[in-house]
Amino acid sequence: MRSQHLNHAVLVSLLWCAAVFVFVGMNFMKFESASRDLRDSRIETALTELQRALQTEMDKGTILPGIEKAEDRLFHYAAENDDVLSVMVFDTKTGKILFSTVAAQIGVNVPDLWREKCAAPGTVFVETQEDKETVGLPVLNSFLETEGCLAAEYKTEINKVVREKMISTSFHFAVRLAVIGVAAAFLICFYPTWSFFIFGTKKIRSIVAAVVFSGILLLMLQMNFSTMFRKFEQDLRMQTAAKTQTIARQVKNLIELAVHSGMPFKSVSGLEAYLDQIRQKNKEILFILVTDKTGRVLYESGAAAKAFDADPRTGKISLRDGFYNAAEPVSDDESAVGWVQIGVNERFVREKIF
Amino acid sequence: MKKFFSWFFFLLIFPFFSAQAQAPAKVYMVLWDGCEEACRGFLDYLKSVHYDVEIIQRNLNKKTDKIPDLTAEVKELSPDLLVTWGTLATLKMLGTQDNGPVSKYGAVPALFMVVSQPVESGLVSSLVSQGRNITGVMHLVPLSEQLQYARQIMPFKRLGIIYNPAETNAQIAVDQLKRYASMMNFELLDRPVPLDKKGNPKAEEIAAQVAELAENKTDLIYLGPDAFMNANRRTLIDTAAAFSIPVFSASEGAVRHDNALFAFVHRYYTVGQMAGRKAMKILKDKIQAYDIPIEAPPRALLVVNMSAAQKTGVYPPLALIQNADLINIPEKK
Repeated sequence: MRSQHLNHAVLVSLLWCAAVFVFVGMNFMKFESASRDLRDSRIETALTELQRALQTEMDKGTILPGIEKAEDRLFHYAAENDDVLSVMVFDTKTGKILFSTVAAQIGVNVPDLWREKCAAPGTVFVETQEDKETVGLPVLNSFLETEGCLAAEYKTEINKVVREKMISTSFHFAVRLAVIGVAAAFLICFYPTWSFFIFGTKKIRSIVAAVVFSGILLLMLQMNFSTMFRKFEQDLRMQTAAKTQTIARQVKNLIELAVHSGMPFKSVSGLEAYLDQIRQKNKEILFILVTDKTGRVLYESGAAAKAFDADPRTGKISLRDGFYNAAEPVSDDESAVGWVQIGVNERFVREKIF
Repeated sequence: MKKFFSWFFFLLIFPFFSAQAQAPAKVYMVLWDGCEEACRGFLDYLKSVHYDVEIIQRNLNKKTDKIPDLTAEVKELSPDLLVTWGTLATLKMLGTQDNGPVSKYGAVPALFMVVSQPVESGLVSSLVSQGRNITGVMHLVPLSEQLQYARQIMPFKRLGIIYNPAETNAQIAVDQLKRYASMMNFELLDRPVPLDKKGNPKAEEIAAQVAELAENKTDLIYLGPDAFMNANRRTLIDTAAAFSIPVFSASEGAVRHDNALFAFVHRYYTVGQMAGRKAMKILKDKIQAYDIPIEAPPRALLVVNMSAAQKTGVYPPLALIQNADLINIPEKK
């Protein structure tokens, strides 16, 4: 009888451990893929903005090597992105680097493979090396022909750090959940749980015991799963924060372009429609607010109220757990006129899973 | 001995053949008002591809009286390519399609640039496979696209146009606007400029016509591809500004130099460069002009005069300004 109980306990434990490792592994993959997506989309967002600026200069009638302040734009881009090693623009016909944030690269030829990969319009080329990754976008002239290529070299260190953190989280929680399951299996198989209770008949005590212990077990599992997801989300925060900041900067740059061109900050035409477009493209974004410098909301897209808690006594507003907020100041030529605030629902991967 | 004579004969004629092969291609250009941006774009492109060409430039100085002389000169010189600038110069030099598919210049292919409506003006029957030994580059963005952009900048209900009824291009634009008015659900207020006894439009009537459009609650005025109205655009734009009516234009000159609010255009320089590409297809690749489609550059540019925007209070939406050329930026007070 005892060995039969042992067999049952071991079998249930093995099945439980397998299920836990599969479940945690699948979640690890989801979060890891979300981490890569966030990074890729951040890089693409920032590079596309730069590509668009170069193309607009060409539409105005300038040839690619003659674009004024092209290097300033590249330096600005590199300064805004911590993981950038260098940014360059090369001629796709000759392969010669025309502009670069690394002076020694100017005039040097890029590998032929880069030229080939960047030649097709509408493509993003990615070249992965040991500790860096190069991402390139074709720069098209007014005839929609690829005239050059905008390429940026990135450190892949952040990816590795995030991945390692997630592996550690996965391992930690897989073991924790496995231990809980195994302990429960052995407890149920070897210990008469109904004996905890001293009321009613044995049948009633057994039912009560089954309900109470199942409840406790489910509660423990739920708490652990929830903590695991929260930990994954915290591991992902580095990527979420970097991408949100990039988008906030993109919105701020465009508003500043409008304001510097004479548009009044308080009546920027089509701003909310533009913010809606950004939110639709980036599902993790819960809201985008543009406020004046006192914090009064001038433009809004999405439901910001969901992300904030107000203290009924002091009236102080704070961000709820599970939400991330990025802010960028907007200035006119001389001083700050307002803020761009972007709120991200950090549970976006979890919500996708369930 | 026989071999020696063959070699001697070859060496004798070789320089002749080699000189023939190296003779630069002859390009004859008929320009309406000197070598402006499109012409520069064309020449810069030929220079950038290092193709050996001899350019013969003839300037009409905005008059057509030299056309018979130039026609005779083209026939005499028989260039490898005839290039024309503008609708009027092109029509005068090449005639309309009613003159038949064969050009009066025999085998000389022709390439036009800055012609707004090559089909509607009768130059060719269609933009592709049209039979005449002509190709070219249009400079106007299709009117439907211009109107769609205008709608994004200002959702108008009444669109006004003052035009010279004696001009083909202007009349074509008005006819197109009438078609789009019902499709795009706006009211068109079209006002032809009255003509004098000689059939010339009276420029002094323009201000009164703008006032009448303002009285009829016009939201926006369109300055079409109309040489007369473009010559008098300052009157139109200034009077419209007095009534706080923004003006949008088919060409960028009115925005760049005369405070029209915006234009959705192809830069003349780009048009010239594209003409240069087509010229190379004819001269270098030996493709027949009628096999090269007549087209406009594929990507257009929105040009916005921000001082005019400030005066009228009509600003382009944020999504458009990121790809736009914002000019005349007002100084901060």
